[in-house]
Amino acid sequence: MTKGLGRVGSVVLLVAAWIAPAAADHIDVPNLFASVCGFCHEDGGRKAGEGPRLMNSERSDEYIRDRIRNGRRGRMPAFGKMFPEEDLDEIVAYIRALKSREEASAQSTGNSFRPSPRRWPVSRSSRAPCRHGPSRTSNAANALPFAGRKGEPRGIQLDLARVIAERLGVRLSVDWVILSYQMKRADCDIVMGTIADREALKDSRLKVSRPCFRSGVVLAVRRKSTASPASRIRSRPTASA
Amino acid sequence: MTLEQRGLTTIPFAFEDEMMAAVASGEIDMAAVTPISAGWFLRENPEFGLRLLDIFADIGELNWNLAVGMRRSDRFLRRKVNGILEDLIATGELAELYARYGIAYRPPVYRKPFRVERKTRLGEQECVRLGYSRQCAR
Repeated sequence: MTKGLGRVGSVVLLVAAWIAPAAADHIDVPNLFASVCGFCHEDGGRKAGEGPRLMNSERSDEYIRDRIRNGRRGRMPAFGKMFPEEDLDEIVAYIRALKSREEASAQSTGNSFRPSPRRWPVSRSSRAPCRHGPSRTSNAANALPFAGRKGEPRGIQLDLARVIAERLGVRLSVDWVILSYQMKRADCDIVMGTIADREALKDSRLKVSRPCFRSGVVLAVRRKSTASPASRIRSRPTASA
Repeated sequence: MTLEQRGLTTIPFAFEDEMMAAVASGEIDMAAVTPISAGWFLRENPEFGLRLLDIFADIGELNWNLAVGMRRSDRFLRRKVNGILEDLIATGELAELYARYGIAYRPPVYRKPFRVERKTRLGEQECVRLGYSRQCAR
């Protein structure tokens, strides 16, 4: 790509909380397990945590795919909105190839999981290649208030990107990315909603602008709730205390 | 993780709107959510009767700044974007943008604030160079 501002700018939508360093051309399943899945399926799926052990699972491929897509209320989140079919294939392949650490180190081949690089199918997403100018599709993705494609595309990230593009004097072309590994496929100039954290960006190919918003964690509770969650949490000692 | 360490039972959800709906239905007692998603959800679903408690502001690991990401090679672009963001924040336009979606603007927090250092000329376009400065108290 050319450098500077003469080219068409483009914007990528990311679910900010899930930004993780990844620059592969395919889904980075080990990285996915080290972050998102690993909260419940520990040690890359080798050990049970909040969720079951996945290594040597007797469940069928279809069962695993269905569970990833639809989840189980209160036990496993439904990721149906996020992963295309090929990514589910890669996740199942990763699970099937899982070996214990000892077994894996005994084998000279090392990691037996070798995801195959492949091109992102343009027809599936609303991908608008940066070099080909703006385009829109009718995909029903809706991630408001960040950005939504339902009806007239809008959202904080899109609105801000429009202002930036206008002031830069460049045309805006938008790519839609849900998980961080899809960012490389999009090959865009700017990525909206990036977490400005040195550690989170360590292995990515991104630098960040000056910070523009303070995000974090707040508690949502019922307005009529008589219990005081704040004091409840505050009064509990931490595990290490 | 932090909440688990405080002895609370946590249940994984993939999407914040599902979490908040679960609070409203009584399935769970509270949801740890981001102020952006929560502000929007409350605006779109006032009948759910939820409120937000901002009680973690002093816990660093539960707070983070958002910015615009760019490729490492794009120094010129980064300077331009920094200048635009600086202006949007100073004029209150960024706060207005968030307010359109029901979200109270939360200014970023950082130890070494950015400030305009000097102007420079690159080719025919003038840009504002921004940088960190210890002397600039926010």
